[in-house]
Amino acid sequence: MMECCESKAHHHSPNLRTIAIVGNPNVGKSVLFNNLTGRYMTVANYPGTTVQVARGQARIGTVDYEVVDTPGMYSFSSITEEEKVARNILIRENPYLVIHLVDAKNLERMLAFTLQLLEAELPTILVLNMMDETRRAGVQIDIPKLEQELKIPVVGTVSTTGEGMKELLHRIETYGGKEHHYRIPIGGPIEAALNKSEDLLNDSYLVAKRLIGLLALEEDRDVLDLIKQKQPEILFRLEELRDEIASHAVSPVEYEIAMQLKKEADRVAGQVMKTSNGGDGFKEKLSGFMMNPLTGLPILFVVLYFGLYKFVGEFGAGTVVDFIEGSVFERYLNPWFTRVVTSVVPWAVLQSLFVGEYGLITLGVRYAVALILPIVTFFFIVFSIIEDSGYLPRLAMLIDRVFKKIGLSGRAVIPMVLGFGCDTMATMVTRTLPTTRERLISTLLLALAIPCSAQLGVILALLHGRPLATFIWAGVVSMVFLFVGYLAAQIIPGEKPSFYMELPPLRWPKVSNVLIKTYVRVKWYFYEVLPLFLLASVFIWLGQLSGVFDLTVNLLKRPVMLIGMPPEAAKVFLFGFFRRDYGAAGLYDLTKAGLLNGTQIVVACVALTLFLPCIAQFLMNVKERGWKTGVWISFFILFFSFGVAFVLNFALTHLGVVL
Amino acid sequence: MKCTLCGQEFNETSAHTACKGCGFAKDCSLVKCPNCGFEDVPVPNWIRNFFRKKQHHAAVQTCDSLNIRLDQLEVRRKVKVTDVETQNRSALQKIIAIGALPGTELFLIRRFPSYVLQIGRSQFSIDRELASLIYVAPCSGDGRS
Repeated sequence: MMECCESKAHHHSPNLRTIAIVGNPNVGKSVLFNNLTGRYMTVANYPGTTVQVARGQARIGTVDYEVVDTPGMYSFSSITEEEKVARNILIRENPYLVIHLVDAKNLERMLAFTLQLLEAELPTILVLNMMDETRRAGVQIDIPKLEQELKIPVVGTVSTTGEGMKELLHRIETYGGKEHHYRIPIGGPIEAALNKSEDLLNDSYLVAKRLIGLLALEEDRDVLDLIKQKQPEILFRLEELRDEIASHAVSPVEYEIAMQLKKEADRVAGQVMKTSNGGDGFKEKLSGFMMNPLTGLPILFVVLYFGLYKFVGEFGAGTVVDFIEGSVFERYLNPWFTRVVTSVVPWAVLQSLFVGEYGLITLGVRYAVALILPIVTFFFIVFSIIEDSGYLPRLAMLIDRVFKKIGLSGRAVIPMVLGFGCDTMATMVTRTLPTTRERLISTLLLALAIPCSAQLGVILALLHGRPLATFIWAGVVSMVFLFVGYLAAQIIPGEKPSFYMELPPLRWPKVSNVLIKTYVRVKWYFYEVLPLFLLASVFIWLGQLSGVFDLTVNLLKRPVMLIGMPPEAAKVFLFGFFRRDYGAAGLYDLTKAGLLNGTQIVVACVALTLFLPCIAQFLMNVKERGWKTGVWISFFILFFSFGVAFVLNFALTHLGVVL
Repeated sequence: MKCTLCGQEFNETSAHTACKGCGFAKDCSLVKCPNCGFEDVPVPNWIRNFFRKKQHHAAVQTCDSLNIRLDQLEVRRKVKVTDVETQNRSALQKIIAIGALPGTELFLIRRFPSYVLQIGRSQFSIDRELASLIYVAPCSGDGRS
């Protein structure tokens, strides 16, 4: 989620030993990764995919290792693109060591994947993380006995506090290679087919042939491709084996395998785990309240009101922005820069590039630093707290039924909420959704009806002190969101979404984690946003100089007047092309100048919320969804937003609503 | 439950057999006694729970052999998964991912707005469609964990 535009095909360094961290989502892989590396890391797309993989270096003892933080996975049978990437790292990159990180209190469930790793003959260390929560939950684990059972090193850790890290490093340093031979017979026709496929696979593969054969029997595309490269002649034989299994009419291969793995995992877990009663009554109760619609919706309202409206809107977009913009920029920086530039640069034309009405410094930098930066920072603080507390999955569960109506599952709530921070980033995060259909619908809705924090901050400031206007704005935008989503779900073909999600226990967010996450996200945003602001300033300067700007503004005047705006607002909409928030900020200036009445403010806010995505988001849409779709979405939004604004203006003026 | 007319003890979940041939059987909240045919109004769970004394756990839990689909199960029941029925591979993989495989004990926490299950020490939320693929057998002793 950091460097979005870095797409160089980064492969693992050939001369370093690779350590791959694998495990379910939400077990603390990234924290362990940071603990191990810390010095240097790169984030790059996995070749041929849009999934990002973080790699870093670690020196343990006297040896340098490359550490890979893989996306979360539950088993070798993969559903999402991210799981496929994690799986491919394991079967293609020949890791020196695999660290399987599990949530210790759920050992019995996660052990199945450890067994699969062992069966794949991958060199594995099992790390039982979250030992503190596990002890609190009243679960005891006999680690030495577990080591005996599995014949691999097992370490208990608390990655957030660093407990057990020393021992883990020691175990990595002294790791003597794999000795284990774990084999879990499946029995029946599948076992027979598996044995035959193992005989067929006589080229060298980096993991056990049993696993390759198994994935081939599951019709896994990547593995079939791998076999095609090495032994194209056996593909049809494998197909025969698949048909043979199917003719016995047993359940799908992965189901049978999961059953056998579970049996073995239950047996092992039974030997080493002891449970006495524990648990946190208060957190359980609170979790229940969050998931009950009667109490959950008020909780959501409280979170939105205090988190977004009070903290981000009033404090961030109000108090802090006023201070930075009003005092720092307008009183000190702008006059100072104007003096310097006018004395250094002799030509008026060039002067206006830097310090004119739309100058690089007076407009570009001022908007980016004084307006957008504080708002985005405050939003990401709130988002990181919400994310770390475990509230988002509960919200996903609460809202799944509604989202199903618009062709999405509850899972989409995460990009949607993130969209309130930055739609561009959120569009990138739609990758975590399992189907193309869900990704397309959420991209469209993010571009259309989810205002980003920069816009939201300015819009809330505009609507401040006008409760009825705020209500109408929120109502119209929500209606558009649901209506367009509903239509899209009817029109766009594809598999219906299905929803499953783990609900991690509620946790108190850690201040350090929240700050680090906020810092990384703000940094990403700022690197992404500042060049675009500057570029936009240059474009406007060029446009003004050449007369294109005036021409376009004149062209836009008609549609702008059609929705009841003063002609001056045309400029604002032109700014909107460059960045949506840029446009919103322009609107703010118009209102400060007293050019808009209540109705006009509402109509303008609605139009700008729905209006074309900012240039960064447009590029992201194209990148993620392809040219055709990206352009199509933008066209639709262009006409639709003006249409809605026109209807709203018509209705408000003819109903005689005074705002 | 006990029929208020004839006193016959019967299982609410299997009572729908008596409703065969009734045009209103769908979405009907009444329960028909299989013995005398009297249509009774079942006491809502929350009222029943309010008046019921807290039961102590039975030392040994036995699970019925009767299979119910998870989406039809009432909440706060401990059950054992008996079967997963689907040919849809992606749905099956999701069920494998949460570990709701035959032999697993699970506890249904909520049904609305989505199904929330406790499996081991983890909680999962799934939608009705996935829940309807999982068959379970209720365990006696009303496991309050």
